[in-house]
Formats: sequence, C-alpha cells, structure tokens
Amino acid sequence: MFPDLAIAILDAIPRERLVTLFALIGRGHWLVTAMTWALYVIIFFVCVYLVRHYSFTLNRLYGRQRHPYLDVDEAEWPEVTVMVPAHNEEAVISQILQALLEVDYPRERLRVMPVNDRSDDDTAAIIDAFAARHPDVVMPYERREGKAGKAAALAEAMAHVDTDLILVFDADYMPGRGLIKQLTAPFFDPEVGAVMGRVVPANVEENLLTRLLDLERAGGYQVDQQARMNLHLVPQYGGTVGGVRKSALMEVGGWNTDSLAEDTDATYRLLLGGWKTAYQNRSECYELVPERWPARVRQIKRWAKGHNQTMVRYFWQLVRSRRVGRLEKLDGLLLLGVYLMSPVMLVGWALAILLWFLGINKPGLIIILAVTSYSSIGNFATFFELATAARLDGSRERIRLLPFLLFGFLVSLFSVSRATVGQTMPWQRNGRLHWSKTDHNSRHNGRPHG
Amino acid sequence: MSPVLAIAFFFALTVGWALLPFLPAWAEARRRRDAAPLQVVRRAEVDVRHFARRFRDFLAQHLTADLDAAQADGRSREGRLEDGTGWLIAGADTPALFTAAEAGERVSQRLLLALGDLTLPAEHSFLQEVFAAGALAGGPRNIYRAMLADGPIILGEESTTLRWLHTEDALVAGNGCALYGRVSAVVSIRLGEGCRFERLHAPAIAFGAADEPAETNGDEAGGGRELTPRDLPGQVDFGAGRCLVEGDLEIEAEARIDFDLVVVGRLRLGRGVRVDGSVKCRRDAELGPGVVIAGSLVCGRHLRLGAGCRIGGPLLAEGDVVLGAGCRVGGAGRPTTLSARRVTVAAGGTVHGTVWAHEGGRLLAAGETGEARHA
Repeated sequence: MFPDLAIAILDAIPRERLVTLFALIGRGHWLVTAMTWALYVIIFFVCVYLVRHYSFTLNRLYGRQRHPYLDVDEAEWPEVTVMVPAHNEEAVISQILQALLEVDYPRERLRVMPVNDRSDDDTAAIIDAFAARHPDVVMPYERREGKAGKAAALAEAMAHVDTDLILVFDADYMPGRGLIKQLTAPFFDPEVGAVMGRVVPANVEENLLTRLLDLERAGGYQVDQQARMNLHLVPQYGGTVGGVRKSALMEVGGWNTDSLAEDTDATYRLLLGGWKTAYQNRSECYELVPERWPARVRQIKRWAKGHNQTMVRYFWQLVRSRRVGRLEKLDGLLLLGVYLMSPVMLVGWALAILLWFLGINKPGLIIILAVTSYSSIGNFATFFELATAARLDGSRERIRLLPFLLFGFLVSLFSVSRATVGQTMPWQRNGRLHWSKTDHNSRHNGRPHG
Repeated sequence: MSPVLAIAFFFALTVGWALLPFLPAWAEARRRRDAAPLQVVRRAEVDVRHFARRFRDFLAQHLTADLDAAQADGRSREGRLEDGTGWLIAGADTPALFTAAEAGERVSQRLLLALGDLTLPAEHSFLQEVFAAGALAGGPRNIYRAMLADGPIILGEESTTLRWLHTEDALVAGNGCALYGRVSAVVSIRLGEGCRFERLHAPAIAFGAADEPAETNGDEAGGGRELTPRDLPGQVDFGAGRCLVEGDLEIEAEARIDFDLVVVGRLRLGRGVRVDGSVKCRRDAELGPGVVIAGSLVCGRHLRLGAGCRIGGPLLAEGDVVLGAGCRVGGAGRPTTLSARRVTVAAGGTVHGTVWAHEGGRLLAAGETGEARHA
C-alpha cells in the first residue's frame, strides 16, 4: 500500500524536477547543514533525559533512600482540612467521604470539605446527607457558577478554609486510615509547602490499558518521584493525594485558575518562593485509571497542555532564580520540558529519516536516536524505570507486560505531540480554557478488586 | 538456497526476533497472574505494637482452650503446636520452666506463657516468645526472642531482646541491655546506662536512672533580645510566618524568636535561645544548653543538643542526633516523635512518644560523652 503510494507520488513529479530537488538539497546545502545540526541538538537533549532517567533508576536501586517524615506516628497533630472537589461524582463521593470519616486522625482537628462544583446529578444531596450526619467534621462548600475546572473550585472554596494545612483528594480516591497523618507529617518541616503521596491504580485487572497504566504510575512514583526526593530535586505536587500549606500557597499567589495543571503550577511557584514539595512514597492511595483509550488520550492531552502552560510561565523565572539550587534548577527545567520532548522526538525521527534519504548518514546518528528514544519516551517514566518499579514493588510477573508499553507510549507520543503543537496555533493560544474531566468507570468505586 | 528464500528467511527471522518479547507479554496478559492492585496497607510499618497484637491473635487462635482451662484450674499444661513448637502454660503450681535438656543448655526452646507473674533465671536464652499475664522479671544476661506482659517488665543487666517487646504497664531495662526491634510500653520505659535500642514507644521514655526532670514551661529561656527577621545576618526572606536564611546562621545566647526558621546552611543556637515556632536546618545544627523550641526541629544532617534543651517536637534528623543530659522531647500528654539515623542520649533525657534510631541508639554510660558520627 505505502510503497505504491510513494511510487505514485514520485511518478507524479516530473523526472527533471526531482533530480533538481536532490541536487539542490544535497551535501553542503545550508538547509541540510541546518537539519543536521538540529538533529544533533535533539539527540543531545534526548541524551540528557536519558542520563536523568538512568540517574533516577540507579539512585532507587543503589542510592540512599530518604523518607524523612515517615516515622512520625506520634505528634501534636495540627488542624487540617481535607478538600474533595466533586463535579458530578454521585457514583463515588459517598465512598471517599465515608473513608475520610474513618481515618486515624484526631476528630476535633479534622475538617472534611466536599466542594460540590456545579454538579447536576445527586452529588449535592449525598454531600448534604453526610454533612447532616457529621456536622462537626463535614463542612461542605457549594459552587453553583463560575469558571470551570478544579483550580477554580479549589480557589473559591479555599477562601472558606480556616486551617493552614489543606489536603486534596479527587472524589474517586480511597484514602486509607493512616493516610491523613502520613500526608500531614511533612508539614512539621517549616520548609515544606506541599506534599505528595503515591497514587496506586485500583482497577488494574480491568483490561490491558489499566494494566499498562498501573506500570506507568508505578514507574512515575516509585522511581521518578522518590528519586527526586532522595536527590533533593523537585518532586511534583500532583493535585490529589497531597496537600499544600495554605499560607505558603497564598504567599505565592494561590491557585492559578488559568492553568489546566494547577498542581504543577503550584509546585513551581512554591519552588520559586523557596518552599519544598515533599514526596511520601509510602503514603499510598488507590485511584481509578481510565479504562478506555479515548479517555486516556483526553487525560494525557490535558496534562500535556497544562504542563506546557507551566513551562511557558516559569521557565525563565526558574532560570533566573537565585533562590533555587543549581541541581534543583536543572531538574526543574528538565521536568518542565518532559511533554515538549514528544514532538521534539518526532521531529528528530523525521530529520533522521530525511537526512538518511538525502545521503547524509552520519555514523550512528539513527542508532543513537533509536537507543535513546527507547529510554526517553513516555509521559511518566521510561521502560527501565517501569521495570525497576515493578521489581521494587515485588510485582515480578507484571513486568512481562513491558513490551506492550511500546503501544501505550506511541499513543502518548502522538497525543502529547498533537496537544503541544495545537497549543502553539494562534487560534488556540488566546482561546478559552477548556477543562475536560477524566471519565471514570463507577463500577469499582475506588476499591481494589480482590 | 535461492535469493528469494534467503530474503524470506531473513525477514521471518527478524520479525520473529522482534516479536519474541511479546510472547511472555501475551501470556501474562492472557493468564493475569499478577493483575491485582498493589497492596498498600502496611500496618507492620506504622504500628509499633503490630507484633504484640499479632502474637495475642496467635494465642487466641491456637491456645485459647488450654489457656482457659489452665486459668480455671490453676494447673500448668504443656504441649506442641502443629509445627512441632513446644509450649508451656505456667499455672499457679509453679512448674519447672525448662526440660532437663533445656536446663543443661540454658536454652528454652518452648513458648512460655504464664497466667500470673513470671520470674526467669539469669544467663538463659529464650528462643520462643515469653508471655506473662502479670509482671515479668528476667535475670541478667538473658537473651529473648520476644516478650509480652500485661504487667511491668524488668530486664536484668545486659539482657537482649531480639525482635520485639511490649508491656501494658512499664518497662525497666537494666544497665547495658540491647533492645533490638520494637519496644513499647503503655505506661513508661526506663533504660539503664549503656543500653542500646532501635525503636521505643511509650508516653514517657526516661534515659538513665535519674528522676525525670520536672515539667517546666521554658520561661528561663529567651530572656534576652527578641529578634526579628531583619536582625538575622545573611540573605533573609520572610513570608507566611517563616524566615528563610541563606547560608549559615548563629543566634546569640538568650535570644527570643517568634517565627519559623529555615536555615539553608549550618545552624548554631546559643545558650538559652527560645524559638516560639519550628526550626529547619538543611545541614548540621548545634543547640546550646537550655535551648527551647516550641515546635518541631528538623535537620538535614547531624544534630547536637546541649544539656537541658526542650523540643516540642517532632524532632527529625537525617543524620545522627546527640541529646545532652536532661533534654526533653515532647511533653506529658503531648507525645511526639524523635527519628534519626543514630541517636545518642546522655543520662537524664526524656522523650515522650516514639524514638526511632534507624541504625541504632545508645544511652551513654556514666562518664561517657557522645559524639555525632559525621560519616
């Protein structure tokens, strides 16, 4: 099919013009030189990410592991508000509220604030019923209008929070009994402005997609996030199963309601403001991952757009910052660029193939690109990070699924590239913010099978 | 071989080689041998009494009938579990705790379960758990696998517990004991000089034979100048009730600070400084005698506290911690956590709550001085 098409296209071009084209774009032509140098630059950046991922993996396997707040089991626990933003979450909202009422935390110091964000299902009624039964703990906030999106809901509701510590859970999560203490403990460190726990998929056995996402999540948290914690780099606040110090966040401007990734945005503003994000690898919480590819594609495109927004906003601020340490700054910049690497990689491949057809076959260029691409693509973590995560988790059998991740990564590669390129289009740049909520299958209600 | 066949063979070989990793992948996708969600509840990690609770569950599951019968008639019983492990329930008839062979070797191979108080001889090893419904007293230089008692536990000098120890009352460990694993008491723990430990948990943990220092509100500290962020040297940033100091910081004696302090370099607090907030130091920190910190104290490396310091808690260090004589962490009714790589304590110190020394802790013997090991 494809060769026929290619031959047909080449046949359609007059022979003398084709000869002229190859003669023009030949060795030594400025365009070819520029393309070659562009490929070198791309390969350099891909190699930088390769080194970064290998450093993380080796650190997790052989380095000193930092869990500085894990041991805090006794303390004078501070007052904390747990916010649960909920937009049409009638299927899952009661599960998380019930779980939060059963956590091991002094009841007089715990407030649960479900934020009903413009729901038009029974979410409000369920929340009201909980509030009526537990008026001392459940203090709901109702939002009937306003800007769409989680950041806007959090920003509005936070004005009604009277505690300095805020934890945030999405409605489809299922916190365990000890999780609130574990996520609160890092705030005893006055340098910590945000905390992040580990997200663990609950609906793993649903289908191949959920199993692949389980591997991806494991690599992202078990290896990537924990290594950044170990190395005093930039662990990322992920918007759920985590929390912020309200006074710190307000000092750096509060939630950014113009961002599709308010979590990454907050991470960077806190970093620039001299605050740390602490990652707690053993503070795990179940979540529901998308079970269908279209939902997955929408999710990753939203992440990519939000992350790229953050990159544009804070790249130069971070470069110029005198407060952020050199290694921390380097990691922060590389983290900002992770989603940009997808289109960059595609451009790299296009250049490599084009140059090869033009007869510019620099020794090893394609081989280097092939090897480093294998080690750099993926939105969360690379193949060897996933394998390492499976080993650290003791999940020896699921590691066999690794080859299938190639397809998942290709989907991510093209989805992220499409989202990123789309963002640069003039009609997208000034458009309204479009928030697409991730679809969840309510059958599991956040509880793991088995 | 014809060229066409050779090309076809090469092509098939290449495709087969590329698809080879997909065979185990396909098999796992079909069989789902490892498709369960990761188990995330790890009570063993967070609950210091985990093993004690599990042992009680074990007794309830396997020996309830025998324990009830022994309780009813007061007579001792012995037998074996399904795995062949022997057990002895010591009733009011004071049975021999050792078989002839065990007595000869000075090694008990059986589970020892006492319905009342239990006193154990010196210089014996107990390879199975020991339980007493009353008080439990052991002679010097014994070695225990694990101990549980509803009454107080008294360990003779230079005794060793290998896995865990829990009492519903108080624990008193004689000089030179080695307490490996988890040690917890509902009322209090008192360690003798030279004791080694790993994880301790009790409302009051007293290090050394001296009486616990009286509760003070720390009014004696901070009697000097009240410092504002502007008084601090170096590049200072103040916001959200926290002062961030670039570089090293030294605070004069008796000064008073009423905000959170974050120091990027080293920190030295002079004698009698009072901080009505929390303190974080990314590198080494040294606190002079009588320093009071109302909130938490977090240190990225090694930490040394002078005599008589008071820390509200938690106290967390990624390196080693040395507590001077008479230091107190937490307070009565305000339990907290002390966690560090290694902990060295001078006699007279008290911690309310939990002490975790990941690579071991030690109470100094008389005349010894502690040094943080800057490895």
